[in-house]
Amino acid sequence: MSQPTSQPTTRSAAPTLPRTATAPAAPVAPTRKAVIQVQHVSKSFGDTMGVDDLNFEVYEGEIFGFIGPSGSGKTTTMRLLNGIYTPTSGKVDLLGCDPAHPTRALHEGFGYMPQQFVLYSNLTVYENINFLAAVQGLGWRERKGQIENLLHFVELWDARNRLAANISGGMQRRLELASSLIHNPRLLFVDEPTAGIDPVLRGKFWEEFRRLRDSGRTIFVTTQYVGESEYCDRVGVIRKGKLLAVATPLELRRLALHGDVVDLEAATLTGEAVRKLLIQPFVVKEAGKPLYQWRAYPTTIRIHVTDAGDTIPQILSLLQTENIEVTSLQEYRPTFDEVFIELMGGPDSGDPEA
Amino acid sequence: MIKRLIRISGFVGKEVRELVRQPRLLLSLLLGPFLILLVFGAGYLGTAPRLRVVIVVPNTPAFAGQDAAIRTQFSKGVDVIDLTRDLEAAQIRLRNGGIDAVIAVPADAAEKIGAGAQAIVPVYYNEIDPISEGRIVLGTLQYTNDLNKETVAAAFKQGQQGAGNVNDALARMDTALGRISDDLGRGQVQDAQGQVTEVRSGAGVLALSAGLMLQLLQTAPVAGPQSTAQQQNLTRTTGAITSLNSDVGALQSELAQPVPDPTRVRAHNDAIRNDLRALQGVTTQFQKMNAYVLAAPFYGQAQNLARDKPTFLNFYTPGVLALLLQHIAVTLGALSMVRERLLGSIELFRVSPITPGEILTGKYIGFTLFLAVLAALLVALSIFVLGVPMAGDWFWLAGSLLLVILASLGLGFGLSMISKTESQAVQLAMLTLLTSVFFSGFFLSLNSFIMPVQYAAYSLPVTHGIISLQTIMLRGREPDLFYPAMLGGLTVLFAAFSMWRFSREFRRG
Repeated sequence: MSQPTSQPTTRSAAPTLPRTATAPAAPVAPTRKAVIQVQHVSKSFGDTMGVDDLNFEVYEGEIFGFIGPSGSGKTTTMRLLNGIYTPTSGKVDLLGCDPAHPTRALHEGFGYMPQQFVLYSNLTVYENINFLAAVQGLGWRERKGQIENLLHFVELWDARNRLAANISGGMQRRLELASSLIHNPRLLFVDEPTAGIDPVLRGKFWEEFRRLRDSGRTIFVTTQYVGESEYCDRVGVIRKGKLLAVATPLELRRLALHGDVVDLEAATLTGEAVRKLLIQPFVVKEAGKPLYQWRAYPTTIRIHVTDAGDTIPQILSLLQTENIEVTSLQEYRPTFDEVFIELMGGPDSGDPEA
Repeated sequence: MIKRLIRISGFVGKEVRELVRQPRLLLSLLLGPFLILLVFGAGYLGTAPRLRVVIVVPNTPAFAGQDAAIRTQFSKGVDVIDLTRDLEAAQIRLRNGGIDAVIAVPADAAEKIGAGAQAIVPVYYNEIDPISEGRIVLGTLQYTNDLNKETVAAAFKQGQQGAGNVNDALARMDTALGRISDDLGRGQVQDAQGQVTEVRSGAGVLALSAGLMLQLLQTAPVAGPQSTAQQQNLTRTTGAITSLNSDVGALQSELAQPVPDPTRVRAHNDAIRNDLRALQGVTTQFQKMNAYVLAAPFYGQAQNLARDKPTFLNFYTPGVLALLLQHIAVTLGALSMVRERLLGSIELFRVSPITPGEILTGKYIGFTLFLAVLAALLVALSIFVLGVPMAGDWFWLAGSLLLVILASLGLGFGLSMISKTESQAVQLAMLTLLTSVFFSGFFLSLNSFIMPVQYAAYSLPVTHGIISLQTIMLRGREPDLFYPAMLGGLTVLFAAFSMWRFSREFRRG
């Protein structure tokens, strides 16, 4: 974690992550069927390693976010999963098939929304989606209702007769999303859908993803906006081609911070009381040293604990025995930006956009 | 199968819509070629301009005061800009432009011809364009040919004037024969014998002149079979010369007798008069002949058996149609796949149920439909507005145009498979156009090239398209099957190559 104030502190060594460890499986995982299984997958381009020894699973009906800075290997991973790339080593299982040797049934089973706008600027919104419906082999009658539903879903029905060249960037992304859903796929790959669009529209996108998930679809989405992690059911964090962690957003936070964090504020906080507090077993220690930072010496201190819910009553009890009047004691929830900076190994190790 | 058709039809619709959405492109594709043909038809003269020449007259006393005569003599088929005696100044003027040639009148023409050698007329030119050089060289030959004809005709005119002497001889002989009869009637044998010398002398001149004229007239057989009347005329003339010599000899012998028999003398006289009448006919015929015909007795009269009178517009329009269709098809094909690649849609197709074959087939059909409509409009404008003939079968025309489109699209798709960027694709399409202009027979005959180049030219759809369209539209018959077969073969070849490359690219991970 970064030092939040300029006050002199006795900050312990920064928490370090087990870089190669995989986060504990999400609670949803054991009860659901894996639609994507990635086992020791690597991909190199000549002498350059794209991704290295990826291992994870994506379960049916979840939003799986794949987060990392630019050039970290997000798009390469997505292309390995949907069969555009063939792994140099390892195995990918997509909907029960090898995507490197796809069948038509496999292609009909998932949708793909690439990072860039790949639709045709000289065609109207309707013609673009109609073309992609034909590419998917949907008959005229079958596609008519589906197109109308999807254009309503992405709020483009009123713009259906406008040329794709004449609609905004956000509308183009929504058109792409609708096009990727035209064949009603079980699984949707979405590559950085919110890149370069305004926060309001980004929120709408995530709202649409949640609606899709709630309708039973699985969504594999890459993003470089760290804050979007909290919209996902599970998140994979990648840096320089290596998968750092796979976890739920909450677990990711605990993983980054080695537990929970509480902020304690007391007007009469003595050194003796603090010493007693920091030797308690619920205080997280690294190399035998407790993890804490003075937020405002000597009144406010931030302490890393194993579990905030269990620990707060114990802290209150301890301070009462020391006759210290507590002004404030509450769990601190760091932003995902802070979490990712921790995960990436400090502010200089990556550049995820806040 | 139905899904396959749906996917293909999706591409057909997409390609056609994308093209139709570009009105400026449509306008330029349709009106551009039409306007080019219209301006070409209205503006191209089709004939080479007359050579502008300066004549250099020898600066010798013999040519003093002869300028007007020389200008007349040397101005056949050319525009004489100036007459000068300074060859060097004329050549400088030639180098500086403004004139096409300098003609130097030979100073020693009479001596050369008199000595049995040809007189050389130097013609100087200053050309870098081989076509213009050919025009000047050809013009020089034509010019000297005209000059020779003029000279020979002048000589014949002099000969015809000489034929007047023959008529004099005939008259003198007729008079002498009359006098012989009179002298014999009066018993003056010696006077009659004196007159026979005049007859013999006249007969000699006559036989010689008539013989020469006969030789000239007998050149006619080289032109072909003679008419019966002409043959009889020549036979009669030959007989008359032989008979004249024989009859004059017989008359001379009879008059040499101590007592000539008046009956036989009269008979010989009558025979000689008959001979003279026959020969007088030849002489008259000779005099009546056109000196220019005698100088240039043959004139090649070209007769075109083609259905319509050839014009440059008519001849080039089928070629322009084939060339334009090929160029548009190659450009569309070459750009189409490159654009899909650059747009990133290929990536989208790779994770869709569509196959490379379905994509190419869809594009093929879409572009073919578009180009077929364009071809139909261009043909209609050419025929009904520009007046280019359509002498052949419409079915063959449609089939040939379709094959040109299919083969050219295949070529375009093939180029797109080896192009990484749009500019590369455009460059390759332009190179194909340039190659086609030079080697397809569009304006340089295929036979003008060595065989390997001709074989290479046959790999261009337009080569077969031009020949097929010209044969159908202008000659009114169907083309040799070789050409449609080659177009079909090229279509298969190019399509197979494109399919192979595209499938490989599509599968590559």
